[in-house]
Amino acid sequence: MSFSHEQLNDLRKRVLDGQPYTREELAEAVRQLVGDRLSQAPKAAEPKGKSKPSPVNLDDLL
Amino acid sequence: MELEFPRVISSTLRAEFNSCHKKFFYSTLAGLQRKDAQNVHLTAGAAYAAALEATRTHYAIHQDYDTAVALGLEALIKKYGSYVPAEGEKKTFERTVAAFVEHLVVYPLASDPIKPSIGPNGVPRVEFTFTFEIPGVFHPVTGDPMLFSGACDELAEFNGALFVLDDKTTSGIGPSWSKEWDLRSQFTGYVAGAREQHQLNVVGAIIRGMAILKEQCKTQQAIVYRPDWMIQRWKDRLVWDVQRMIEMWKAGYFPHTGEESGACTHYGLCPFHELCGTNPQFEQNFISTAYEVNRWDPVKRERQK
Repeated sequence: MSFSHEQLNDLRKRVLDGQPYTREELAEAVRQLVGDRLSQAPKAAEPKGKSKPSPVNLDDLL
Repeated sequence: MELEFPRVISSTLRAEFNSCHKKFFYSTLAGLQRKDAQNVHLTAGAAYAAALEATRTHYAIHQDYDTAVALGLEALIKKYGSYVPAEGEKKTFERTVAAFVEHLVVYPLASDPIKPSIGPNGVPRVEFTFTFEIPGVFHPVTGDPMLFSGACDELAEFNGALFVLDDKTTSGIGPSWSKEWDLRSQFTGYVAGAREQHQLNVVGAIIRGMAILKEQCKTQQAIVYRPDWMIQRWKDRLVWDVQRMIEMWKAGYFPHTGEESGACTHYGLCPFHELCGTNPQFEQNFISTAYEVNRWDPVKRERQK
């Protein structure tokens, strides 16, 4: 489950307005945001095609 | 305009003086700040720094991740406040929180090889400060010795050596980002200060950049060293710079050198850009309409009304 901007701003409002909130809520918000970030981590680059190095003809290099 | 010559010089004041003497005059000597001054870069940077400071301090002492990050988020929220940046700005509240989260992901508290060093009293050296006398330079009004002061985010330990650590938020990290810090005076000053006041053998600086972008955050880290000769050169020029400030104070002339250095358009736009473009005949009127006196205190690192 991802942590939305609405949830984050609700927490922000409560902290700034002096309304009740707990450190557990803050920690849970960070845990979820870290989880969201990790789930969006870019996948490792897929290998491009199946190309293999071609044999080099030494005569071409001379 | 009531002018005050500062007793304490910081890296920021020195850089301001060297970027434009007139900016130094308006901002530091006259203490002017625009009435509509809140700046998204400073707001986001301060909130991000507050989050990291609270997190690191608690974690270094208690190794309690949950409380450390909760205190970090709380500090970020309080520092960012209810500020809403202009439409299109990247460093919004949500993106600043994303930067804090990115930092926790890229530099995990438990396994980060760069850790706060611990002082002799067992307190982690997070938000490390120093002040020392500038040799042979005296305040032009009081005659007291002039001071140099600074504060860095952390005095860190890495591979058995001491480094100053500074976290920087930015809107982008280009290929030459790490080169920006090779010679940067700010870090030479931090290393000099740690050596001078605390007799600590600090060898260099670690700069962690966090680019806050619309969809993602990007990080980069630079490690720079400060040999003795570079520190000596920095100290010699510090004396020369502050002596020039005093000479200009005595002469009452602070030229508009930003017209050559490009300072007029740094960080968006210089807060005195319009004022400098105003006919001097109307300078006082413009100042009383658009500015208030709000002096920067380099020790407390906040503006004082």
